[in-house]
Amino acid sequence: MRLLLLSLVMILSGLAQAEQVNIYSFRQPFLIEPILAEFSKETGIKTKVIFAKKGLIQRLKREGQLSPADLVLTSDFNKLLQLKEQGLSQEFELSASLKKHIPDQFRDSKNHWLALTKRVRNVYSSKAKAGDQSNIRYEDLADAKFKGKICTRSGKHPYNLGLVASMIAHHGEAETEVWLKGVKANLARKPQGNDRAQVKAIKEGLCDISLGNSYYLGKMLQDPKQVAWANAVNLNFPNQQDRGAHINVSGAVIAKHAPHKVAAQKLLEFLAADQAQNLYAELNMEYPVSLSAKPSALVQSWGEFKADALPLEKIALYRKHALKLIDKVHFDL
Amino acid sequence: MNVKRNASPSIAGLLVSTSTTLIALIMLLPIAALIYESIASHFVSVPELDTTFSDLADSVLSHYIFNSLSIVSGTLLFACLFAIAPAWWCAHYEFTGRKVLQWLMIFPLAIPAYISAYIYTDALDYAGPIQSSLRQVFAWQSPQDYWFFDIRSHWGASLMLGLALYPYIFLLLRNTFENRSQNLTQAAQIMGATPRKIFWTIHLPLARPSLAIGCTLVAMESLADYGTVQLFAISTLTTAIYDSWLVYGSLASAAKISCLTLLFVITLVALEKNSRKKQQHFDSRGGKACPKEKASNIKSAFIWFICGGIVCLGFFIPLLTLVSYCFDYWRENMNEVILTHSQSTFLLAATAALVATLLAILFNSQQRFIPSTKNQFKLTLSSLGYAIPGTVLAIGILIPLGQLDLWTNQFITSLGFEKVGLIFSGTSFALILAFVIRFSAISNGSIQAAYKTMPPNLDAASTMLKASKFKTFTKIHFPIMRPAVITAFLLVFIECVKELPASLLLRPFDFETLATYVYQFASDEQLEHAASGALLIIVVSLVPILLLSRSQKMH
Repeated sequence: MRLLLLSLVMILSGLAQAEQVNIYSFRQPFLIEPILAEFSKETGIKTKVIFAKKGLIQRLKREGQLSPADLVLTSDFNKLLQLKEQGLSQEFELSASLKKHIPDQFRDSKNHWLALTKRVRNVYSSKAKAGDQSNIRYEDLADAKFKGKICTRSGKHPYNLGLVASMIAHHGEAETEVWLKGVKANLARKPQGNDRAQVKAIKEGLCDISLGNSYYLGKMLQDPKQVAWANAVNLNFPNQQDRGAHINVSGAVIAKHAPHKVAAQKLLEFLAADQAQNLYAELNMEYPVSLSAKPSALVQSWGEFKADALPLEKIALYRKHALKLIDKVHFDL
Repeated sequence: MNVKRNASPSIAGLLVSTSTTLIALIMLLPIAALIYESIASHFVSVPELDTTFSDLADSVLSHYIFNSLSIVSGTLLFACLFAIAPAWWCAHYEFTGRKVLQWLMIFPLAIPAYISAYIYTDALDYAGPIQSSLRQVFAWQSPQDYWFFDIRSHWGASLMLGLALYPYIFLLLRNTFENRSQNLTQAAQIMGATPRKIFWTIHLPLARPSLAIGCTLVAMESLADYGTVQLFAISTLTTAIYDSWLVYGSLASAAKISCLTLLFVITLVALEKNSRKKQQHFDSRGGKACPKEKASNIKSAFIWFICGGIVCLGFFIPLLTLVSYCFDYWRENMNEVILTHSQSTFLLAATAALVATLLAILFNSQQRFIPSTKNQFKLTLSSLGYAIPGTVLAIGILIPLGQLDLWTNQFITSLGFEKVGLIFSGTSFALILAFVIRFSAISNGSIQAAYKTMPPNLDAASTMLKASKFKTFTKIHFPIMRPAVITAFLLVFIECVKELPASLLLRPFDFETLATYVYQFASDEQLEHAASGALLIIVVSLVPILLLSRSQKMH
């Protein structure tokens, strides 16, 4: 009972406090903290973050109209669309600057979600053993010449799910199933670890080719112990001769029942503006979505690339199909 | 305790009975919510038929079930291997440093399985330092050139879980062995039985209740594990629950699979109970405690070698690795926020442990005084939560608490006041409730084991002296089971400090436990950057372990 009263008092006093934004984040706090600190410094609005890799959408749904969440930050586009589909988001105000800086492809047509950074699903290849793979296509990963040479993380990770969904969007389900079986047959080991772990495996000679997002290379180059892994691989942008590389985005929505909507809108604007976009680029080695922000010098040194132009909404339609296929071919088992 | 001394027995009895029923129902609430979710879809027409469960059943569910069963049996095997013999040695022999070793054997409890699993996979992987240096020394080029133990396998995961969980069995068994009856041993010796035979035919069978309770705890813990098996890339039933709920987005099918998992546990518990139904073990401890046999030097060395090895694997190697991470990534690790996090973790865990222990005493003493199927049923119900994976439990709790919040707010606004927000599901209340529900099985187990060895003639004597039940409890039961009470509190405390999945989902804003703090790094395979946090988890859990060893010495 005492505890209850205490929490009641805590909440009531919380309500009386200054302006703040409550953030549900799928991204690790240490990735966004510097940017949020900058926001608080500039506007005086406090930010509170709760991070989980899984389950935040479900929590939001359960909390309903009482949810304290103002802004949800995700690390892939499927979650952005899920939030919208399940009626957990609301329209943000499309200000002139948002309209000017963020291309259509990276905003919801109904202004429910906004992408903040782009990440490419790259193919890493061993400098020592794989030769020149700069013309590689995702389709090639099923080619028998790579038998026993490919490493990847779980097929059900959002980054791989997005890729499989985009394969379905381009080739249809039947063809994708054949492809997925081919990739599975080429794996050097059961899918495991994260994207960095695959690069490490290449360095150690366990495999020649792996799938991974581009920013991991930048992160590894900054880590004194991992720099050797990063130096063992080439970064390739797939499908440059045809449709372009698959990209995923991190993004944000304003929660349906946001108690601090005005502050949330301010934060959204801030995250899409150049200062934050440049911070994203510098700190996390991601590609900014804003047309006026630039990738970091290191990321720029990886070269220009062509991105798949298919709208994210089209790809997201096949998310469930992708998941079923991955289970059907026993990709992770 | 809800028992009032002066109240007439029937009123006091009624009070206890009602409150335990109520508490048992509250503890059942998340499960009830899940069961409701899993069947509700059959009655309410949904626009799109949810085929997730049948899809999973068609493709991968049988593999998952097989994996779960093999992890559980593998973990049990390793845990028994690590626990039974050392427990016997520590209870039976006197040798140099026995007391220290007894302590050390419990230390692995302080390290969450996912942390040691991380460290071992990192070290033993193909790309890890051990295999890499082997390759350099022998000039092997590829995995085809040599055989090496594959850590990311069923055996590897079972070994890790076994190393993290064996102290449960060790603790319970050592206690029982320590209190074993001298009379039986002497009788057997007179009849010419060899020490080996005495162990297998008298001491081990007598310790069966403790062994069974310990094994059930280990089995449930390994069945509900998510972090470790995920690291080892093994898909189990827990994976299926996570997938169907969080990836397929079908709570109904997640609830169905959770119910399936629960069914496993109930079967397990029932089988175990049934098989020793006819056995009754009472220890009529007359005279002095069983004297310890002096171990020869060779024997002592052997015991130290084996037990020391287990402790090194389970505790010192992970600990030293974390310390070395700390030095390698000094800047990232020196962070004052972890002190705040350890404070809140400590407070939270202590509250939950206190509640869980009090409840365990309440339920078990009720069953002791008024043994009935109904009371046994309540006791079983209050232990069920252990089998529910943390994430599922979190959802099971959010469903009813969310509804409660909604009603409360409706009520308060109808009175003309401001909304109060999520006072149940959005505060530490939810987290404490989750901990209590999840870990009551541990406190129940400990108290139950204490009651099992307490001869009923004590109660009879007390009743004959016209002592009230309350007096019997405070003057007789409680003093005898005090070590068990302390054990219960400390074990639950340690578990709460280490708990991860439910904390991740239920913790309020601006609130981190040490485990959730460490996890945000570990989940990105950068445990190195949060090694100091992981070390603090170990320190925070070690304090109660030291206390635990002290309380155990009191016999």
